[in-house]
Amino acid sequence: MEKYIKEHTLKPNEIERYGRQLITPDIGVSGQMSLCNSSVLIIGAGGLGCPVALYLSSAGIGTLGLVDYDTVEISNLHRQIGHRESSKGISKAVSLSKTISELNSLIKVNTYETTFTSETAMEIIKNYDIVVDASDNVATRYLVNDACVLTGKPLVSGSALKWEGQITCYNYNNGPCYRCIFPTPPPVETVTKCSDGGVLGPIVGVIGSLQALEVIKILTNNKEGVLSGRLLIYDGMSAVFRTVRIRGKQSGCNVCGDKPTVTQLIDYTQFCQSNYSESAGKVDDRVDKTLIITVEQFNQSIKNNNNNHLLIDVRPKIQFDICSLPNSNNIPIEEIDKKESIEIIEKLIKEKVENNNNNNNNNENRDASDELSVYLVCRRGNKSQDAVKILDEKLKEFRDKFKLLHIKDGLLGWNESIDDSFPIY
Amino acid sequence: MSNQFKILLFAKVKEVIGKDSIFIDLPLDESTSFNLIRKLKHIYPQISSTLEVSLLAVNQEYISRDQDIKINSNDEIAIIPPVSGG
Repeated sequence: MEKYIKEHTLKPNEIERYGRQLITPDIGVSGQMSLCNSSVLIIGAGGLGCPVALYLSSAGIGTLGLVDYDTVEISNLHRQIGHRESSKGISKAVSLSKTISELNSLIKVNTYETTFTSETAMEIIKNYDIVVDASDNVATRYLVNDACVLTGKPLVSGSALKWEGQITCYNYNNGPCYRCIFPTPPPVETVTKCSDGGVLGPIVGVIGSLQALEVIKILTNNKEGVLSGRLLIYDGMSAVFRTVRIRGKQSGCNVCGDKPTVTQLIDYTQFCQSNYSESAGKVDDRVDKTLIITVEQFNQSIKNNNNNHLLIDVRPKIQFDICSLPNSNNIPIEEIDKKESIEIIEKLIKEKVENNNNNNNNNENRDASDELSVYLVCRRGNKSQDAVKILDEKLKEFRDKFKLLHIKDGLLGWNESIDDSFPIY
Repeated sequence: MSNQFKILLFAKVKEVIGKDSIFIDLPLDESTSFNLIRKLKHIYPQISSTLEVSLLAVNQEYISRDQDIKINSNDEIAIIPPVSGG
């Protein structure tokens, strides 16, 4: 005689482990079986990917795929809760997979230590039932969307910045895709990255948790409540959740519409004019080379002639307060073209010029090197290029009184080449 | 006579304008979504390019940017730019 009756294949250790979710309404044995037999691909093992992967692995998703080309840095740890200090320098996909294996050894994890690109996407995605977009950049978002539409996979998409997050499901049950809602990629200069705007751990934690929940709902066939055709916006600062009904699938959509123009993956870095990564790396020169100085040249120049220069730091005040170079004046880029800012800069320049003239009157050996230099600095040498252009124009009237230069590679360059004790963030 | 609209701002437009909501006046007979966007671009030229790619919602419902629809002063209007960070 049988000791007990169990008309399913969940093993006793699985019943024990998943007990609380197994007895939750609308999950049950069939729901848990679905989870255990499913595979989910998570694009990005960062702020969103960590909570998504931790919850989905705990919930017993049979196979998880983790895609991330990047390695763990200490500055990730305040929000990327699936990594440990000991993982510094190792692949994020591998690090997260290691954490997962300590959490739930019953599930399988595949790691892809590579950039998700038009070349790699289809081969990876085909092995999975659902895709989670936990990436951090525009190009990857369009790529993931199109790959999901072309392969018919539901896409659970989350994003976050500062105190805010958004989440919705695309390409689910005949609902809209990302391009139905956002057909045109945003202009590069309008996109704020977490590395510039900041982001809080609990914000990505909330959005990532919601993404994991949507995956569970889709896999357990709880169709009615799936967040499709609706965009949920979380404003963490005011503690408000808003759900906006977004339009349905668009017959004119370029990828999921009736007559799609995108029938295979394209070059999304070109389409979005940006890379498959958040990190900007070195900044290209956009200004005339007569307006550029390297950190080495700047260092030499202030050593030789410390008094006769003006250093303007154009970072936001919130960043300037963290650490700045001695004798720098903070005039944020957002304010630099305002009348008051220009007046301040004019005043500073006039003071220096007068001072310089007085000194020179007492000194017979004046030469061109006595000319006042106005240096513009920022974090990476990006915004200081905009600043140099603005000031070149706004200070036209007395441009002959001083040299105007932006410091290439900015304070990160200063840290790299001159003073590695200068704090970076 | 004019209508006053409260506009909820999110993400990039909130960052650039520096407020989470603003009030915009439109004449009664010009209270439409096109005029609202036009006026926003006029007052805040620095968000023009973001407005182009943002989602516009009236009473928590998506408004097609191709259609000019009438809006009423008690409508809740939201401008939701895409967020790509994570």
